[in-house]
Amino acid sequence: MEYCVDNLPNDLRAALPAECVGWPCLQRCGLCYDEPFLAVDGELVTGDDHEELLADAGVSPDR
Amino acid sequence: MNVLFVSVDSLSRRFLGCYDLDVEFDVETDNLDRFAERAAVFDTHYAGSLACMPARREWLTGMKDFLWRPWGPVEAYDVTLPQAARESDVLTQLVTDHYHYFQHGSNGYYEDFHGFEFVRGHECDAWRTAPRIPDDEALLRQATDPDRWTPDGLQYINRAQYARNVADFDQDDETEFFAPKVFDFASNWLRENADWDEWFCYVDSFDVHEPFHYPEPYASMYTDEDPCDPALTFWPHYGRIDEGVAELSERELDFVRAQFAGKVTMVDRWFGRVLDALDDTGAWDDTMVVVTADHGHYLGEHGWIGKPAAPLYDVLARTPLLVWHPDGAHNGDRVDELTTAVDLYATILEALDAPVPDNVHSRSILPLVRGECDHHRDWALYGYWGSSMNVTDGRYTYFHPCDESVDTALYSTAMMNAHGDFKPKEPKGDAEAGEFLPYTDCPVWRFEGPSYARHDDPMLFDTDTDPRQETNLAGEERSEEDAMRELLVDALHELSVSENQYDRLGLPKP
Repeated sequence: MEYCVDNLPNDLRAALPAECVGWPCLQRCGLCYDEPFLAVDGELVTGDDHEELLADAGVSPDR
Repeated sequence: MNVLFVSVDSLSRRFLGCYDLDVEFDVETDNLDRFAERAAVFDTHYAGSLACMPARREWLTGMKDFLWRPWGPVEAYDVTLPQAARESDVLTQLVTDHYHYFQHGSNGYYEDFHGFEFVRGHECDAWRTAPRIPDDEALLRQATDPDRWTPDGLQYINRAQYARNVADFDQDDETEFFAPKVFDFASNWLRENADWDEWFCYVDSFDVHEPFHYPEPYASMYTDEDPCDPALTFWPHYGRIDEGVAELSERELDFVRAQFAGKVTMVDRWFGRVLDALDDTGAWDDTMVVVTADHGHYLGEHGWIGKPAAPLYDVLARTPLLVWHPDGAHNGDRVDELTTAVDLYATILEALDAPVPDNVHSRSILPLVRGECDHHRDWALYGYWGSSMNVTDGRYTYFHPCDESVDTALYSTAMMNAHGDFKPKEPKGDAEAGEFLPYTDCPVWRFEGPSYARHDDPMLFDTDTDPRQETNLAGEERSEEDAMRELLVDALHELSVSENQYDRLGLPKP
């Protein structure tokens, strides 16, 4: 699972497991500006809420 | 003295014959080689602040950028090169296709020139709005991957913009593409403005930056693939080549490398027009010519593509620098002394006999160029804001990681984005104002943004014995690692960086 540091809330970022890879920019500025998004196995997924996207990807933040 | 300053975005020096060509292609760079035979070729020149606009703030204002702020505008307390030149009665001109000058977050860089020519349409330049769906489906697919993108999606940045921008270009006519237009304009400008007493011309070519799209003969010069094969992108996303959103097959990576090489050759051919103009106008005797790049571009080295979140290996950070000066002591020769991007500001002002502001971080290399000294600087710092800190002494490169749990302070008169460089700005409700900077009394905003660690542990390379930086010497209890860490601390202390930098880097405060 990949995410953009500028798109994911910082407190959520700190709670992600190590296998989640953060990038300072994923070069999807249009998406990044508009809505929450992640890349799961190289495919982009978007939604209203990062927690929901993470749950769909099977990722449990440690909070 | 006149000054011609040419920057070629992303020009990796290992693709240049004058820098010991280190790629699988025999890349044709006849004109850069021709200039290198005349000029002083600097072997140990390093970028400073990355990427595009931070580099331009160093060149055009003489200020180290990344230690205090990310990608952003010229500040009220900056004195730009064209402003300082103008005040010394020098005519100034900018020629560029670098559209970032005209995006969010980057104002102030072109306004002080007497004239500027902006060649429209590169990459995601917000230029053409028609056709709604570009007809060339192969081009659209190579540029955007329409399986993931809606070509007529109206989000802030959509890669279909590029396909729309070039939709009217004759795809068989290189003169309709960007570097040819930029260098053609520059060569004509040199011919038409020779009667001015003194001039400074800045030619800022966005090429060889991606997208790596351009016509024949260059498109097939270094590959047997069909350059229009929709299965092969000419515009890969940044990241790891072995997994994730930027993953590339061996075939895809080979194609991208070939297309990068082809673009280098196209830029070189048209750069030759500029050299011809200098020849024809007899300008060499009273003109300093500087050619450099803001950074390189990963093309599979160390497993990366683009300018991603990678450690700043020399592939990205060690940049070409070629300087012709009529009184140059090293013309036609090599210079091994350590130099860095920010130094070009004072160098150009000194060549123009214009005063250099006292508060800048730039040190003129003109004494070195003229043979008046044989040592220039002990260290060069380079990096991205909010990330690892990198230092070199000209032989060793030392990368010091940051603690991601400690945010990085950002100082500016603008409320710029910490990341997301050119996205629309958002208000920073937690900003405080004050005289926080060591080099100006001007109050600025101070707020924080997330830090980003490019690596977890220190990295050390001996670039004399290991120029490809394949053997990390850090962690072996070597005295060189301690010495480089001390050099880093000394450099940070000399620049009077904020306490936040020491906190986030876990380094002792002076």
